[in-house]
Amino acid sequence: MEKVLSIVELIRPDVDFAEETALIDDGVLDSFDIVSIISDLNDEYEINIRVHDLTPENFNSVEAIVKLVERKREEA
Amino acid sequence: MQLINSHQQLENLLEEFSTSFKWSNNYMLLEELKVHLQAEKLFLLQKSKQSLVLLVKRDSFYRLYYQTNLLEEIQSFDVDQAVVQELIYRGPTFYPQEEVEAWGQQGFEVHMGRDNYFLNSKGLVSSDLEYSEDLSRIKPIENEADLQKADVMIRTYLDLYTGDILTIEELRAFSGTGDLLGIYVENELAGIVQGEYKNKVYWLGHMVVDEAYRGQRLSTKLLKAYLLKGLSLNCRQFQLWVLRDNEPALGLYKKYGFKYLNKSTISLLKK
Repeated sequence: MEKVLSIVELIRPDVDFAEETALIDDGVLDSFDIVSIISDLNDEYEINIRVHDLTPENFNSVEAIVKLVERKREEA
Repeated sequence: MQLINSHQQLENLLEEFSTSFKWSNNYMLLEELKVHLQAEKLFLLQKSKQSLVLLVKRDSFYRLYYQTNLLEEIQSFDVDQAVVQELIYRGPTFYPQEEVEAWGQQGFEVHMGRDNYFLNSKGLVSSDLEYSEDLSRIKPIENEADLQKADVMIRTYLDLYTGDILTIEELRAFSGTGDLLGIYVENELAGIVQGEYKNKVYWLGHMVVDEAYRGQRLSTKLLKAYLLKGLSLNCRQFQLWVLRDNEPALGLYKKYGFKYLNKSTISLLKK
């Protein structure tokens, strides 16, 4: 959780990720932020997040992102 | 070039692209792609195992979106109108030099660079944004004649290929929501500012002052009016894109507290 948090905070230092639970639905992150996050997650965890994973529910909170990473690590 | 005309076709295309891409300027979510598909504006330009190139039709040009693992695989092409693409990157350290060079070999020239700035609304006070209306007056643009003038201003002074120039229909829509403000000098429209509320962010879409009225600090008043409008909507944040070499605009935004969001674009144009 902390590692994911540090990745997203580096990309969007203006966002309070601990508080936000609707990062996509509230427009806090845009799709470029998401792709930047994916790129860093793929590198950090050696996973393969697919185009189809680019859905709001996978990125609305840090918790959701952590769950996505865990799923991808199981698939790997 | 092939029109993508069904959700299934789009889903199949995306399904084939199961790998993550080393290079891409396609940051559209699936839902955004579907909006273009429904409007019959989404075209498939190239597809291979390693690359997908899509075009989205705009008024007088196409916007290009690509994802690839092999830049050299992208083929040269010709279409009936100009093609523009914007490469987005996280600050100067990540300038996409390889991509700019690769697309350069396909006839794309560097067009212009833009930077993304933000201002959190917390701490902004309405009373600090008051402005004098002695010589000019700001009010929503509501009549058709002024909408037409606003349209001419946008097309005269702003770049046609970058930043999604508004159509007159889009201007009417922003007028309808009160997000298109005009500054009037002796009852003549001298400049405009257009905002757009998306979720909790109030975006500054376009701001233009007619050349004949420049030097009167009208843009400062327009910016204040835009910020006040955003505060009235209880937005969380203000954001805008500004041309990197537009020093007067940059100076103005920074003066009011806007900060670089570590996000930039370089646009490439093929005419």
